[in-house]
Amino acid sequence: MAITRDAFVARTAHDRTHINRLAIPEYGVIEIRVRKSDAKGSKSYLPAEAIPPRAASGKGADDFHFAPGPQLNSGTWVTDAAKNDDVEIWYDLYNPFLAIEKATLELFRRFEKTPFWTRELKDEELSDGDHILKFGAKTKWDGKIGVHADFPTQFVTVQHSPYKLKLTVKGKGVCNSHVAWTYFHVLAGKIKIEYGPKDVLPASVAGKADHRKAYDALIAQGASPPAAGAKVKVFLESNIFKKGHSMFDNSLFTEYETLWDKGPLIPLFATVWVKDSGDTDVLAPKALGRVKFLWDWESKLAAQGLTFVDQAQDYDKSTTKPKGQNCHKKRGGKRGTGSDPVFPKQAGYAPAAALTPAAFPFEVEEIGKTRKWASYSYAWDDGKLASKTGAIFQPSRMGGDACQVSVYLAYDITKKGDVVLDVADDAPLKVQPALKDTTGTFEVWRDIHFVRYFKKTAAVANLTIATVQGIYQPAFVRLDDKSGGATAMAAGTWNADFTAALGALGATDQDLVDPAVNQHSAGPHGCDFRNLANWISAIAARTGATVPAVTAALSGAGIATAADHAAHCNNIGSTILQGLFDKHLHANEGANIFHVDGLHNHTAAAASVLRGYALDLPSGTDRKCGYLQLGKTTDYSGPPNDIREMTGAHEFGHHFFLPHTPAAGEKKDYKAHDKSVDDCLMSYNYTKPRKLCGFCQLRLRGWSKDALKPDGAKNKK
Amino acid sequence: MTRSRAATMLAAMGAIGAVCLAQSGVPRRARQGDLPVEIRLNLDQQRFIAKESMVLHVHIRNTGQMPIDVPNPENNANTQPVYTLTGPSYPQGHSFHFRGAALGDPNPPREAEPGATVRLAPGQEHDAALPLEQLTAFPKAGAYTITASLTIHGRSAASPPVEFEIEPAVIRSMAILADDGVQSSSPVRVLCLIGTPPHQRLYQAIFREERPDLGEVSLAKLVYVAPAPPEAAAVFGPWTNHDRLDSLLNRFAWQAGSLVGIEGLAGTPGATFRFPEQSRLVRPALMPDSGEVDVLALVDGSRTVEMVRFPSPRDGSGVRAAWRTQLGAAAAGSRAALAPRTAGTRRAAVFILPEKTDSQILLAEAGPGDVQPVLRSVRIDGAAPLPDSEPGIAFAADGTVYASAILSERGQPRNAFVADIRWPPGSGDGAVTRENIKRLPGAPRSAAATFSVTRGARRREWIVLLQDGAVVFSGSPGRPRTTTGTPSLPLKLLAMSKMTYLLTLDKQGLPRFELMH
Repeated sequence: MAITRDAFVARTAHDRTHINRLAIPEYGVIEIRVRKSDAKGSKSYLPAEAIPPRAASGKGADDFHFAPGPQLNSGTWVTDAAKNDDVEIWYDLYNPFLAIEKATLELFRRFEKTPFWTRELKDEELSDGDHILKFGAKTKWDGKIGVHADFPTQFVTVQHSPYKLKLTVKGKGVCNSHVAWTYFHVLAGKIKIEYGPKDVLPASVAGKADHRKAYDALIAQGASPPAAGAKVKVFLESNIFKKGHSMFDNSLFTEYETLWDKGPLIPLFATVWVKDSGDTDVLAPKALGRVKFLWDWESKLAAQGLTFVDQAQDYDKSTTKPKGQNCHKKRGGKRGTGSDPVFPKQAGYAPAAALTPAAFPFEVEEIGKTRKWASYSYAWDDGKLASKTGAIFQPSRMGGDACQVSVYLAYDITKKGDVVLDVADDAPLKVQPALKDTTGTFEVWRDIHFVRYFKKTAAVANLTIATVQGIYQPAFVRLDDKSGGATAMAAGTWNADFTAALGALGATDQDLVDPAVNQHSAGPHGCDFRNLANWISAIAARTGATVPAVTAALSGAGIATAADHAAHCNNIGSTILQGLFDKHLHANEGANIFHVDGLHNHTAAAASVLRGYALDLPSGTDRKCGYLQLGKTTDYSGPPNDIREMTGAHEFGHHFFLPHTPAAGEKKDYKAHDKSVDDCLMSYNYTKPRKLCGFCQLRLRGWSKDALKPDGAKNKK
Repeated sequence: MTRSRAATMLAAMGAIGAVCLAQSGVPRRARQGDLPVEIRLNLDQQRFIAKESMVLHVHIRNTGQMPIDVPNPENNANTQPVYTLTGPSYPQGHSFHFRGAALGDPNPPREAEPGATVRLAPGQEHDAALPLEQLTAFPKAGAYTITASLTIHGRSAASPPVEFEIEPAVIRSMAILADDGVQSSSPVRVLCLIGTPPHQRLYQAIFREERPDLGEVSLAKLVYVAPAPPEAAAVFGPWTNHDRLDSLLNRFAWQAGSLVGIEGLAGTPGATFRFPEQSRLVRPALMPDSGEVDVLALVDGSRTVEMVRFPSPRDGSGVRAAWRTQLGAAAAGSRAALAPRTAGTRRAAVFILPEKTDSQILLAEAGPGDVQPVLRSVRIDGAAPLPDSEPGIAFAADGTVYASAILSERGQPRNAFVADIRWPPGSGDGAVTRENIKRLPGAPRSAAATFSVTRGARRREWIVLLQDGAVVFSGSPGRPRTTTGTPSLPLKLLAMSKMTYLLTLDKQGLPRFELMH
């Protein structure tokens, strides 16, 4: 290398032998480190061809990291001035000849050839020897780089880590070590999913899906989301009943869809810790920047052990993204291409000291490229939710759908800037354990309230509600007993209401009742009626017609035998009880039971016995219903095939939009039952323990009836 | 709704059948076992048409020296007596008991029920009656035999066999007999003209809508009411505006061409009236609780309507014409209705009058004593009646008249729509609303509109029968369907409190209300 230097020679006396020695000035950079201490810092590198004028210390490591910016007190969640992880930028220059004319510090982020931060060393900063870079009067660096569009917090962040700090010198003289560099990291320490506060959810509105109630029910099972391997139930209150709708078509699906739409809103937050230089996880919100967090879900619904259900769940179960048996999009669920997002887009709002009610704080965006079923969120760097991010987790409304949620730190990008985790791989994605958190399973259940249990007298034996509840559990329906237990009606109330209901009937039907009879004390049966002969006599006495004439008139109406009379009493009795109990429908949404032992006192003569009646009470709505439990104990052959609770479950089933099986009742095939079984709860098969068939189960879970076929094999794909 | 019923029993009876078939060595001759009990059966008649009321009398007599408890045949807790039928429907025999039939349960109850047994003193007899037609089915006509057996503490007794014959039901005409505005779930009556001339009879088919919310309605029985003249070809009512059980009125209208007649229960004198030839009846006949039956007919080429009154049998007066009025055009469809008492028991009829480019819907309405009806009409632009389209008409409690007609765009019979008209009480113009029907998937053959006949708000329904046999129903206009039975024409739609049914004839030729959904 040729250099040109001006040299000045000191003159001396002629008789002296002073020598002027002319040396080539040398300079260079020996080392640069970012360090917490001399022993703890990054490692400096020189180019392979560099020949440093003196040896570097060689200290440091490549994985040095620190936590830039202020830190929060984990108890108060406010900045703790006593906490920081400030570091030093330490460098060593060889410059004994003051040859260095320019020294530049440059900070690079991943894949970038252009520094995002530079600083020219000046004056003493250029002198020979080691230096600790000062920032103003401070010798410590907190990671702050100043205003930069890509660093909204003004600090180096996890988002762009790792970083390369480079020191380049220029000068006059020989330089065989003009550049040195070092790497450091800003690392996330851990991520922990938690429930967000209820306030971020939409306010409760009567008649609408109540996400806050669903939230409360979750919290009641644990303040934190389920740990891996554990499960919580997401109860969706859905007191949807058949009144005003049809149980024969897809009304259950559409009504449930109208109510819960795309599913419950569950605020999931994640606290993100940054690893400080001492490998302690700290809350350093400014260090997160605009790093992405990827929210992912997996279908965890397992086969149910019921062929029809399992066939329906086995619908593209290995080909959808994600895989699994959750309800497919075509049946109303969220599994399959083009489904509604499980982590829907959120606008979020700027960090603030207080939350805006009923608004979700974090920005969430759907992933538009590959992993379309997942979403990204961003963290707050300040305010009440500093160091947190979150998403609204919105599983489908389908009962039984089970989801496991994971959040990943999606900092890693390709050279093209694509997020490395944006791949279609099956979960779990391959990342360091510290960069993710995974919940246990959220399992969706429908929640239907059982709000009242009235019975005529204490002598009416209670139904075992737990048995009824158990029948609905396979359909992921919780029949939530809020009744407080069975209550016997007061005699005065019963008799007054009975009289009022009777008064709405025609005179001939009123003649069925002997006014001298105290209806309440007559027995546990619903109505105490005259027998056929006495009824005829009463009609004759009232009208002045002869007994034969009345007998003939009734016979003409098909009432000739005790059985015919009992059948007529069925009609009149159910009308009376409808009027009587209508006054006692609970004010709250939910299902009521009104219980008598036998509709009337002549049921033993009937050729057709009414065991229960899912009537539409006049005061009822599609949110409030009640049924009459009418069967006497002696009407049932007993367990395991024929118990009263099956009547209860059957009648509730009607209110829950389940029609009869083709062989029962009206003999209509509504294409609403598994055709391969004959023991559906909605049948009249009393020779087997009845249970919900697969079709009923799936409908109750919310699946679209129109997308299912009675032949279970045809539901598999 | 859960209900235990005879139909369920049929499947559940297999086990019982097997047991009884094991006893098939028992001779068909009269026999009694070693139980000191005599059991006998008898029926009120020897021949029945299918589903006709069959009162099975069961007599049990204590022939021993000690009192004995025997199962009460009228108590459905009992699995005894066991009845065994043989005949064309059951060539191998079919056994059943009351509990199985009533509750669908082949097994005895776990607990005894008071009244399930009857204690008979020595020599004492207990008589019971059961509706046999409701306990079992007779899908095939022919000769049958029934026996009964009792087994108590291992000792048995069996009845002598009783023979009877089931004849097929040949139904020539049917008409719903609704108690309009107050119809209850039971009984729901359908008047049937049954038999082959000259051996024709009038029966009431008694239906019970056992599950109003579910649409479960069944034919309980056919009840004979009166002989029908050999020339009778159709039945047409009457409808009432009150509960017939309250008035105890049983009157039935039949038609033989221009001749119409009103019959009462057997033994009650009937009356007839002959309209001019080529007249057409306006269905249904109308009967208030005073007992007279009013019959309207289109005469004079369907350009004039005439009302004839058949007085109550208690009245003793003769049949007379009440009023007559010209319509201005030939009526293509018509329907009559009776106002409730609160609206003056007015008679009304609605007529579809097709014109060159439009159609008129005309209302004729008169009080019970009026000699002329008041006419009001509305014009439906560009409308033509569907073939064989019967409008619906109903009164509200205040006298407001509602009418509906199924029409189509002129020249495009598949582009059907419903014209709903509301006429205020007394006078005033009718207000028309139009509800388009999704384009019919085929050419229409017949149509009907109707209103619910039960208490409460009047719900309007309609149905269109297509040429290919499918029906399009108002509850699911996008889902044409075939009916299980054969629809009775003109279409007879019965709208109850929740559900709507179409009257059809089933494979056995029996009337059936098919749920439309």
